[in-house]
Amino acid sequence: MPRGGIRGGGINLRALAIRQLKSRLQIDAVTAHGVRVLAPGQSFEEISSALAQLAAVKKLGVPNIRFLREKILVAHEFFKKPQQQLHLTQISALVDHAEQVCLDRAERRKDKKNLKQIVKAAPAAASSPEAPPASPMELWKEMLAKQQEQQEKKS
Amino acid sequence: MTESRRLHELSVGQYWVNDPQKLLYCCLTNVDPARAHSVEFEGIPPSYEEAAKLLYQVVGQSDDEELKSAQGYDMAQERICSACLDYLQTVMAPDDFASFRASTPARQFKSVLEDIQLMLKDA
Repeated sequence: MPRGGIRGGGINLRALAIRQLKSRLQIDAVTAHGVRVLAPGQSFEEISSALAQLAAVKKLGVPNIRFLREKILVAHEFFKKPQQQLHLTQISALVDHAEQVCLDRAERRKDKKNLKQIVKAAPAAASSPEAPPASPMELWKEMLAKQQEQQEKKS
Repeated sequence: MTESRRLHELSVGQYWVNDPQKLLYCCLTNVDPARAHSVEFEGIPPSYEEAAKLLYQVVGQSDDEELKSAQGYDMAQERICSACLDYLQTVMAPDDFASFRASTPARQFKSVLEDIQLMLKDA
Protein backbone atom coordinates (compact mmCIF):
# COMPACT_ATOMS: atom_id res chain seq x y z
CA MET A 1 0.00 0.00 0.00
CA PRO A 2 1.44 3.44 -0.83
CA ARG A 3 2.47 5.73 2.00
CA GLY A 4 -0.41 7.79 3.30
CA GLY A 5 -3.10 5.24 2.50
CA ILE A 6 -4.96 4.21 -0.61
CA ARG A 7 -4.63 6.74 -3.42
CA GLY A 8 -7.36 8.02 -5.70
CA GLY A 9 -11.02 8.72 -5.28
CA GLY A 10 -10.47 11.28 -2.53
CA ILE A 11 -12.14 14.65 -2.26
CA ASN A 12 -10.17 17.62 -3.50
CA LEU A 13 -10.65 19.79 -0.44
CA ARG A 14 -9.18 22.88 -2.01
CA ALA A 15 -11.55 22.77 -4.98
CA LEU A 16 -14.47 22.03 -2.66
CA ALA A 17 -13.59 24.98 -0.41
CA ILE A 18 -13.32 27.32 -3.44
CA ARG A 19 -16.70 26.08 -4.68
CA GLN A 20 -18.34 26.71 -1.31
CA LEU A 21 -16.79 30.17 -0.99
CA LYS A 22 -18.03 31.03 -4.47
CA SER A 23 -21.53 29.88 -3.58
CA ARG A 24 -21.46 32.33 -0.67
CA LEU A 25 -20.66 35.12 -3.09
CA GLN A 26 -23.97 35.19 -5.00
CA ILE A 27 -24.74 38.88 -4.61
CA ASP A 28 -28.42 39.27 -5.52
CA ALA A 29 -29.72 42.69 -6.45
CA VAL A 30 -33.38 43.72 -6.74
CA THR A 31 -34.92 46.90 -8.14
CA ALA A 32 -37.08 48.75 -5.65
CA HIS A 33 -38.68 52.08 -6.67
CA GLY A 34 -36.35 52.24 -9.67
CA VAL A 35 -33.21 51.83 -7.55
CA ARG A 36 -31.01 48.73 -7.54
CA VAL A 37 -30.56 47.49 -3.99
CA LEU A 38 -29.20 44.40 -2.36
CA ALA A 39 -31.70 41.57 -1.81
CA PRO A 40 -32.66 41.06 1.82
CA GLY A 41 -30.67 38.57 3.87
CA GLN A 42 -27.26 39.50 2.40
CA SER A 43 -24.88 41.01 4.85
CA PHE A 44 -21.62 42.81 4.17
CA GLU A 45 -19.82 40.71 6.79
CA GLU A 46 -20.83 37.46 5.09
CA ILE A 47 -19.81 38.64 1.62
CA SER A 48 -16.58 40.36 2.64
CA SER A 49 -15.48 37.39 4.71
CA ALA A 50 -16.07 35.03 1.75
CA LEU A 51 -14.19 37.44 -0.55
CA ALA A 52 -11.23 37.67 1.82
CA GLN A 53 -11.11 33.91 2.37
CA LEU A 54 -11.20 33.21 -1.35
CA ALA A 55 -8.53 35.84 -2.04
CA ALA A 56 -6.30 34.20 0.58
CA VAL A 57 -6.48 30.73 -0.99
CA LYS A 58 -3.06 29.73 -2.28
CA LYS A 59 -2.37 29.18 -5.99
CA LEU A 60 -5.50 30.88 -7.29
CA GLY A 61 -5.95 30.65 -11.05
CA VAL A 62 -6.86 33.39 -13.50
CA PRO A 63 -10.63 32.52 -13.65
CA ASN A 64 -10.96 32.71 -9.86
CA ILE A 65 -9.07 36.00 -9.76
CA ARG A 66 -11.38 37.42 -12.45
CA PHE A 67 -14.40 36.18 -10.49
CA LEU A 68 -13.12 37.92 -7.36
CA ARG A 69 -12.54 41.18 -9.22
CA GLU A 70 -16.09 41.13 -10.61
CA LYS A 71 -17.54 40.49 -7.16
CA ILE A 72 -15.48 43.25 -5.57
CA LEU A 73 -16.76 45.67 -8.24
CA VAL A 74 -20.36 44.69 -7.49
CA ALA A 75 -19.74 44.95 -3.74
CA HIS A 76 -18.24 48.45 -4.20
CA GLU A 77 -21.51 49.42 -5.89
CA PHE A 78 -23.73 48.29 -3.00
CA PHE A 79 -21.65 48.85 0.12
CA LYS A 80 -20.93 52.56 0.20
CA LYS A 81 -20.04 53.16 3.85
CA PRO A 82 -16.42 54.35 4.26
CA GLN A 83 -15.55 51.43 6.52
CA GLN A 84 -16.99 48.97 4.02
CA GLN A 85 -15.21 50.64 1.10
CA LEU A 86 -11.93 50.48 3.03
CA HIS A 87 -12.46 46.81 3.74
CA LEU A 88 -13.16 46.11 0.08
CA THR A 89 -10.03 48.02 -0.94
CA GLN A 90 -8.00 45.84 1.42
CA ILE A 91 -9.48 42.72 -0.16
CA SER A 92 -8.70 44.18 -3.57
CA ALA A 93 -5.05 44.49 -2.51
CA LEU A 94 -5.13 40.80 -1.53
CA VAL A 95 -6.44 39.94 -5.00
CA ASP A 96 -3.68 42.05 -6.59
CA HIS A 97 -1.14 40.03 -4.65
CA ALA A 98 -2.79 36.74 -5.68
CA GLU A 99 -2.67 37.88 -9.31
CA GLN A 100 1.02 38.75 -9.06
CA VAL A 101 1.78 35.34 -7.54
CA CYS A 102 -0.21 33.72 -10.36
CA LEU A 103 1.74 35.65 -13.02
CA ASP A 104 5.06 34.75 -11.38
CA ARG A 105 4.02 31.10 -11.39
CA ALA A 106 3.14 31.29 -15.08
CA GLU A 107 6.51 32.92 -15.79
CA ARG A 108 8.36 30.18 -13.91
CA ARG A 109 6.42 27.51 -15.83
CA LYS A 110 7.41 29.18 -19.09
CA ASP A 111 11.09 29.30 -18.05
CA LYS A 112 10.98 25.67 -17.03
CA LYS A 113 9.48 24.71 -20.39
CA ASN A 114 12.17 26.66 -22.27
CA LEU A 115 14.93 25.05 -20.21
CA LYS A 116 13.46 21.60 -20.87
CA GLN A 117 13.45 22.30 -24.61
CA ILE A 118 17.11 23.38 -24.47
CA VAL A 119 18.10 20.29 -22.48
CA LYS A 120 16.18 18.07 -24.93
CA ALA A 121 17.77 19.75 -27.96
CA ALA A 122 21.34 19.43 -26.61
CA PRO A 123 21.54 15.59 -26.52
CA ALA A 124 19.86 15.45 -29.92
CA ALA A 125 22.67 17.58 -31.34
CA ALA A 126 25.30 15.57 -29.46
CA SER A 127 23.98 12.24 -30.70
CA SER A 128 24.26 13.21 -34.37
CA PRO A 129 25.46 10.42 -36.68
CA GLU A 130 29.21 9.94 -37.06
CA ALA A 131 29.20 10.73 -40.78
CA PRO A 132 29.49 14.51 -41.25
CA PRO A 133 26.23 16.16 -42.29
CA ALA A 134 25.86 16.82 -45.99
CA SER A 135 26.20 20.29 -47.48
CA PRO A 136 23.41 21.71 -49.64
CA MET A 137 25.75 21.55 -52.65
CA GLU A 138 23.03 20.92 -55.24
CA LEU A 139 21.29 24.08 -54.13
CA TRP A 140 24.52 26.07 -54.32
CA LYS A 141 25.23 24.71 -57.81
CA GLU A 142 21.78 25.91 -58.90
CA MET A 143 22.44 29.33 -57.35
CA LEU A 144 25.81 29.55 -59.10
CA ALA A 145 24.26 28.60 -62.44
CA LYS A 146 21.62 31.32 -62.02
CA GLN A 147 24.27 33.90 -61.16
CA GLN A 148 26.28 32.99 -64.23
CA GLU A 149 23.15 33.25 -66.39
CA GLN A 150 22.43 36.72 -65.01
CA GLN A 151 26.02 37.82 -65.61
CA GLU A 152 25.88 36.58 -69.18
CA LYS A 153 22.65 38.50 -69.75
CA LYS A 154 24.20 41.65 -68.34
CA SER A 155 27.28 41.34 -70.49
CA MET B 1 13.68 30.32 -45.54
CA THR B 2 15.80 30.70 -48.65
CA GLU B 3 19.44 29.61 -48.70
CA SER B 4 20.63 33.22 -48.94
CA ARG B 5 18.51 34.17 -45.94
CA ARG B 6 19.93 31.21 -43.97
CA LEU B 7 23.50 32.28 -44.75
CA HIS B 8 22.68 35.89 -43.86
CA GLU B 9 21.06 34.88 -40.54
CA LEU B 10 24.07 32.74 -39.61
CA SER B 11 26.66 35.37 -40.44
CA VAL B 12 25.13 38.71 -39.46
CA GLY B 13 21.47 38.05 -38.59
CA GLN B 14 19.59 37.38 -35.41
CA TYR B 15 21.30 34.00 -34.86
CA TRP B 16 24.78 35.07 -35.94
CA VAL B 17 27.68 32.77 -35.08
CA ASN B 18 30.65 34.58 -33.61
CA ASP B 19 33.48 32.14 -34.36
CA PRO B 20 34.27 32.33 -38.13
CA GLN B 21 35.13 28.64 -38.41
CA LYS B 22 32.00 27.58 -36.55
CA LEU B 23 30.05 29.92 -38.81
CA LEU B 24 31.53 28.17 -41.84
CA TYR B 25 30.76 24.76 -40.32
CA CYS B 26 27.11 25.80 -39.79
CA CYS B 27 26.92 27.09 -43.38
CA LEU B 28 28.46 23.91 -44.78
CA THR B 29 26.35 21.51 -42.74
CA ASN B 30 23.03 23.15 -43.58
CA VAL B 31 22.34 24.10 -39.95
CA ASP B 32 19.08 25.91 -39.20
CA PRO B 33 20.15 29.34 -37.81
CA ALA B 34 17.81 28.99 -34.81
CA ARG B 35 19.66 25.77 -33.85
CA ALA B 36 23.16 27.12 -34.39
CA HIS B 37 23.71 27.67 -30.65
CA SER B 38 23.33 23.94 -29.94
CA VAL B 39 25.89 22.80 -32.55
CA GLU B 40 28.96 21.23 -30.96
CA PHE B 41 31.88 22.39 -33.06
CA GLU B 42 35.21 20.55 -33.01
CA GLY B 43 36.78 21.76 -36.22
CA ILE B 44 35.83 21.31 -39.87
CA PRO B 45 36.85 17.96 -41.41
CA PRO B 46 38.93 18.11 -44.63
CA SER B 47 36.09 16.35 -46.44
CA TYR B 48 34.30 19.71 -46.73
CA GLU B 49 36.93 21.12 -49.08
CA GLU B 50 34.80 20.89 -52.23
CA ALA B 51 31.74 22.26 -50.43
CA ALA B 52 33.76 25.19 -49.09
CA LYS B 53 35.10 25.97 -52.58
CA LEU B 54 31.58 25.97 -53.99
CA LEU B 55 30.27 28.10 -51.14
CA TYR B 56 33.06 30.62 -51.73
CA GLN B 57 32.15 30.80 -55.41
CA VAL B 58 28.42 31.18 -54.75
CA VAL B 59 28.72 33.77 -52.02
CA GLY B 60 31.70 35.60 -53.49
CA GLN B 61 29.96 36.31 -56.77
CA SER B 62 26.42 36.71 -55.51
CA ASP B 63 24.54 39.95 -55.87
CA ASP B 64 21.53 38.65 -53.95
CA GLU B 65 19.67 41.32 -51.98
CA GLU B 66 18.92 38.80 -49.22
CA LEU B 67 22.62 38.51 -48.44
CA LYS B 68 23.04 42.24 -48.05
CA SER B 69 22.87 44.15 -44.78
CA ALA B 70 21.22 47.52 -44.27
CA GLN B 71 22.41 50.25 -46.67
CA GLY B 72 23.71 47.59 -49.07
CA TYR B 73 26.75 46.45 -47.10
CA ASP B 74 28.12 42.97 -47.89
CA MET B 75 29.04 42.05 -44.34
CA ALA B 76 27.64 38.52 -44.59
CA GLN B 77 29.58 37.82 -47.78
CA GLU B 78 32.77 39.25 -46.27
CA ARG B 79 32.50 37.00 -43.21
CA ILE B 80 31.65 33.82 -45.11
CA CYS B 81 34.27 34.29 -47.83
CA SER B 82 36.96 35.12 -45.29
CA ALA B 83 36.09 31.99 -43.28
CA CYS B 84 36.15 29.89 -46.47
CA LEU B 85 39.60 31.15 -47.41
CA ASP B 86 40.94 30.55 -43.89
CA TYR B 87 39.64 26.99 -43.97
CA LEU B 88 40.80 26.25 -47.53
CA GLN B 89 44.26 27.53 -46.72
CA THR B 90 44.57 24.87 -44.04
CA VAL B 91 43.32 21.94 -46.12
CA MET B 92 44.78 22.73 -49.55
CA ALA B 93 48.34 22.67 -50.77
CA PRO B 94 49.74 26.21 -51.13
CA ASP B 95 49.96 25.99 -54.94
CA ASP B 96 46.44 24.63 -55.24
CA PHE B 97 45.16 27.33 -52.94
CA ALA B 98 46.88 30.07 -54.95
CA SER B 99 45.50 28.73 -58.23
CA PHE B 100 42.02 28.43 -56.70
CA ARG B 101 42.14 32.05 -55.61
CA ALA B 102 43.37 33.17 -58.99
CA SER B 103 40.68 31.23 -60.85
CA THR B 104 37.85 32.24 -58.53
CA PRO B 105 37.61 35.99 -58.28
CA ALA B 106 35.18 37.40 -55.73
CA ARG B 107 33.11 40.50 -56.27
CA GLN B 108 34.31 43.77 -54.69
CA PHE B 109 32.37 43.89 -51.41
CA LYS B 110 30.89 47.04 -49.94
CA SER B 111 32.62 47.04 -46.58
CA VAL B 112 31.35 49.00 -43.60
CA LEU B 113 34.86 49.08 -42.10
CA GLU B 114 36.35 50.60 -45.25
CA ASP B 115 33.64 53.26 -45.24
CA ILE B 116 34.37 54.07 -41.59
CA GLN B 117 38.09 54.36 -42.35
CA LEU B 118 37.33 56.72 -45.24
CA MET B 119 35.09 58.81 -43.00
CA LEU B 120 37.84 58.99 -40.39
CA LYS B 121 40.38 60.04 -43.01
CA ASP B 122 38.02 62.75 -44.29
CA ALA B 123 37.44 63.97 -40.75
